[in-house]
Amino acid sequence: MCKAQISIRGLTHIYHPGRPGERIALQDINGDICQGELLAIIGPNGSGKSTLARHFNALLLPTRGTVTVDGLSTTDPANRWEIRCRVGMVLQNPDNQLVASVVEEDVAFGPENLGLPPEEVRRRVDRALALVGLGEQRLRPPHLLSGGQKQRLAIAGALAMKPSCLVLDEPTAMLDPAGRREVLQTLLGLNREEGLTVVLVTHFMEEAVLADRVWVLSGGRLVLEGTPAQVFSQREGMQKIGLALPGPAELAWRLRSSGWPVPDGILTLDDLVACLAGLLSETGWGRRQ
Amino acid sequence: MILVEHLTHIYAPGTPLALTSLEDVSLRIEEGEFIVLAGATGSGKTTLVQHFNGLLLPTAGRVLVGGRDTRDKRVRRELWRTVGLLFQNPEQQLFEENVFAEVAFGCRNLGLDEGSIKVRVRRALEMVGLDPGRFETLSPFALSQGQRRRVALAGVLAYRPRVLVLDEPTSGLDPAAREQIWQVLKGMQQHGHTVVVITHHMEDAARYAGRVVVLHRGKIYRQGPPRQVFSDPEGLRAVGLDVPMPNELMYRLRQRGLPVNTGVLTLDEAEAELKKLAPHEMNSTK
Repeated sequence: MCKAQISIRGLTHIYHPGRPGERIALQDINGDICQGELLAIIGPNGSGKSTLARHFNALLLPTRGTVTVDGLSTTDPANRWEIRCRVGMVLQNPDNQLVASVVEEDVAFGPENLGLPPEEVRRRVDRALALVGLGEQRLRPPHLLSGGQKQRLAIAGALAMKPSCLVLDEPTAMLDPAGRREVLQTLLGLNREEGLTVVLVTHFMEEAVLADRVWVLSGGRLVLEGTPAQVFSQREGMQKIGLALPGPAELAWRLRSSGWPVPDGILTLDDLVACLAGLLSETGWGRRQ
Repeated sequence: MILVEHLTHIYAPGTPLALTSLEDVSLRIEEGEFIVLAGATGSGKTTLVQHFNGLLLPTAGRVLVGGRDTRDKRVRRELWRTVGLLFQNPEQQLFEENVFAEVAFGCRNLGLDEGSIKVRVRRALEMVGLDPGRFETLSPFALSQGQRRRVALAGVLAYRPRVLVLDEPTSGLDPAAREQIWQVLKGMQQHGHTVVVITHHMEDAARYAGRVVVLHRGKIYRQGPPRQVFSDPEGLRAVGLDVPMPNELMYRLRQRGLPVNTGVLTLDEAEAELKKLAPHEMNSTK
């Protein structure tokens, strides 16, 4: 059952309306983001992903239509503070989001600005650092952290505000593979164990397959939505808008279309390995022809 | 084309903050090669390439570009003509008032006439998939991040340096744009340019690199043709990298006792390799 946390109705966003450089970035988007789900948003460059993500915590406001967070409309200035507390935002480049010279001070920045008593700030900082696995780095300067650690620090900074939803705009784009794994594991943990709603904007199809649901944007419109299995069964549609299937799904499709009994819904390498190993050993295919 | 001999680089040497970023690295890059530099964050990739155009100077050892030592100030002053370097996140470094001026910047410094600048700028914009008619007059700030990235790349392509060095040119780009950029770089190589790319996309590296050089903690950890370097998934994972998916798939099937060749790098190769295993009639059905 979907209990909508963020509701988007008829959302259109136009940059510089009525001025030179006017550009329609989003057109008539409708949808609900459910409490506790992990939603991936994918789409080619310039499809409106980042613009959409910035509406979720009122960094941008609708040109037309509405966005509500737990029933609070982003257009009402009186709601904005509350919305930004509920919806935390993490961006692509961790270096642009860190503000202090010691890890724990960086995390404390938000709660201190809320004017919370020091004990509460301390509690929140400890908890946030523990959740992202940076407890032991608390006294280090952020610039000495690895890319994955910096991005987890940015996530901790957002968590210290106790949001119920975290929106991340390509948080792994600049990380090495190990850093990417760290950040993804952290996000999956927060979602599955802490019940946090997570909205993940990404270019990595392998990340999108981990989500509960996927939204596909193209040309400022929401053109496809569903579970990863549903979305990635639309091979042609994806290709038309310039997106590829995740590698394992693509290979499964190719084998299936040349007659192999490979089932639908293979998305990850684990799925594919299990399927092929079963197929090749049980049927005795494993012997070279 | 580029010769790195026993290069050591220490940031802030002699201070408590001294940080050894490269240690006794030797590397020879031939003219016309397509090199991918891989390695975890902090492995020294960026430090290494910043030596190629004299932005950083060796603490010990030396770097020769076209036979000329980068420690020589006169060499360094002219080095940008030979070695075009695209920084990480170049979209944050755009500064001209419109896209044309931005892309033309390098050509202007070469002292080319207006006519050929125009030709080169348009050509470069087309190469990166931006329609010159539509984009030339726009402010770089009116563009999306992916578009700005491509404008920055066009700026380097337009002045046609013999060596192109690009620090993560595809991070944050969608699959189609990424593919396009790799194709552009491949094309430059076919025209005789030397290309050095830093990337974390191992599948792209596998498809385009002639040679992959893996750095780990300031030293060369592995180097060779992609097939050879990616034949050791565990060794690469130990230094924070991945191997391409097809390679990983074969490796894991092999662990399960299936007689597959683990030296495959692309989806096409994986598909062909798997089909060798199935009964003949299986692959003929449509």
